[in-house]
Amino acid sequence: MNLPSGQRPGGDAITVRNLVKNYRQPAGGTLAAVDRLQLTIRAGETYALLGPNGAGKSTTIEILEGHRRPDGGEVRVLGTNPWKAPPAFRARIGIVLQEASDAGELRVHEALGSLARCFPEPRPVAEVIAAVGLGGKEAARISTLSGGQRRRLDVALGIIGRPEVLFLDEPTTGFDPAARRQFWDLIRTLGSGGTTIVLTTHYLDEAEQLADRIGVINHGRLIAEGAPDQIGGSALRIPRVRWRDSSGFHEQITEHPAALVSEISGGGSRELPELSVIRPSLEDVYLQLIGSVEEAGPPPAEAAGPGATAAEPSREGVRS
Amino acid sequence: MTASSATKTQAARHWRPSALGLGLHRAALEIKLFNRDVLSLVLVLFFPILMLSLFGTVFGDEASIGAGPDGAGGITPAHYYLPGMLALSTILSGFQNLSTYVATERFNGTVKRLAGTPLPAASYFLGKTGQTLYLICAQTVLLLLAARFLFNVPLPSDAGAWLLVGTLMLLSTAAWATTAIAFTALPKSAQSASTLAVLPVLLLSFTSGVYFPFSQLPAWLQSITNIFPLRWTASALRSVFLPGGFEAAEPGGEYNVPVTFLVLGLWAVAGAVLARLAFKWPPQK
Ligand SMILES: Nc1ncnc2c1ncn2[C@@H]1O[C@H](COP(=O)(O)OP(=O)(O)OP(=O)(O)O)[C@@H](O)[C@H]1O
Ligand SMILES: [Mg+2]
Repeated sequence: MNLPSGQRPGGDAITVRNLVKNYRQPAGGTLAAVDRLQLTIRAGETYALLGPNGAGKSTTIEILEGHRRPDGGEVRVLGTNPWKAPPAFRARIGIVLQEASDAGELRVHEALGSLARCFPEPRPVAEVIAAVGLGGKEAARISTLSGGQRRRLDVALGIIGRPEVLFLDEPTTGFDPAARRQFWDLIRTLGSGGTTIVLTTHYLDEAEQLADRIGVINHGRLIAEGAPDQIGGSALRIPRVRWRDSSGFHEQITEHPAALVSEISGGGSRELPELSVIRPSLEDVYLQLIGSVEEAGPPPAEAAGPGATAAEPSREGVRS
Repeated sequence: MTASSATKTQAARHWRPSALGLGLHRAALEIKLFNRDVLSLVLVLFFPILMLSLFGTVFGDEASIGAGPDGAGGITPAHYYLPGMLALSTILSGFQNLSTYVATERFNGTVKRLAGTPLPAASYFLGKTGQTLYLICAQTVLLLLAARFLFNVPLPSDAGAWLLVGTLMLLSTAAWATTAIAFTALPKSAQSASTLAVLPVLLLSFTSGVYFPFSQLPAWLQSITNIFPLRWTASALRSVFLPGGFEAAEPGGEYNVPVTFLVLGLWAVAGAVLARLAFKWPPQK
């Protein structure tokens, strides 16, 4: 990993210990939006926070940004408690909120130029406009931008101050596919330049493309964490083989799919209808992780297959 | 990042933004933005002139107000209403306009955005101060020009009178402005904020001797209005602009400029204290 020399190599940019945030509910009682959350994000890392709506992602990220005050636990961002932190700290972070509708009467370059003045070493406005693909819209009133263009401006406003830690809360909502690719390139460039990036997203491919590590939270708790190709552990990633024969449809979870295919096809001599070998995608893994919390029963994918359970999938042989 | 970024980061730890410099920049930006908002511009900047023109048109340009039985010694309606319209400007700029702007920015995420940057809260308020100063100065100058050249209102010529007018206008606006910031903590939406902000202006302008003489109000209403700055600003401004003899129409038969300054000063200070307590930076949830 490419770390900026200003940060301790291998140091932690963000540490969160037993973070708690409660909201009062209208009906009375409190909702633990963040519930004893533990999180460590290394300097220079790109970390994706995933989780269903209402899981507590925005609450967590806004606590890290210093926008909300935690009710308990310890938070350190760049060694500082972000709540009511001094301007020197704010100069080192960049924020893209989940939703923004401010500055409608300003022009794009005015909003960026004005915000740039608040930072000690801002990026040039023209460079940022080009980086987010808003070229040609410099002089447009912000209120006239399309949804996706407005979102790109939010990203531009987040990076104008050359942050060491960049927080992005669902940054690509409303992006067209090409804009999304362009955004990914931007994030990769920032990441390889040493910026620590924390983003939330509901697009699993985005997390897979960008993140060094992914954390899945649900009901305010971290329920899984790891690299995109490892999160959830190997048990959730065992390939499945699906096929149909005279006795019906079969799905088998196996660590040796080639052997299984060979066996059921008589060494390749018999073609099987609808034969496929599936490796669980990040989305499959994610849904299982969320599902296994939502309902204590077996996750849906397993339930569909004959014979196999999530706890003890049959790894060898044919049982159909 | 380059090899020198270690020292840069070191320097960054001790960096502080210039609250004054950023405040001046915010002020320039706020003024530019305000001029773009044509509706507010017309509503706030020209409203007192519109009202003055209305009185001038409806009541005619005879020197009828305050005239003796022989029809002499009176002044024109425009002349009579000028101090009231100036006083009205202070609550329009200082309270209605400012509180609407700040409340809007609280609800549309502007305050949250800015509080997420190194911008000091003081700079944000310096920007608002600049915008409000711009407004009250423009309003005052436009109103005086209109009074002088459209309605032939005689204006004072000695520097002392103008010093008093300037001080009264600034202090009144300041009293309303600090109150406005504190007030923005009350509404729960931008919609209710702009509705709520009109209420004090509407109620006080009718009960503070702006539209008709203060002494015509019932005593109980007078004693309520006496608490608020507008009635005092209007009275003190009348002491400058109206000819001698008009103080007879004031409560007690005299202008009370020292009490005016006392009331305005108290409101400015109390408003500032409340604003400090009520305004959240960052806006906390
Ligand atoms: N200001 C608030 N007051 C009361 N409850 C809140 C507040 N903000 C968030 N919540 C509640 O806290 C929980 C977590 O909300 P949060 O916005 O952190 O979710 P999220 O993971 O970002 O969801 P999404 O994917 O929809 O953005 C939700 O149940 C939400 O209703
Ligand atoms: Mg969210």
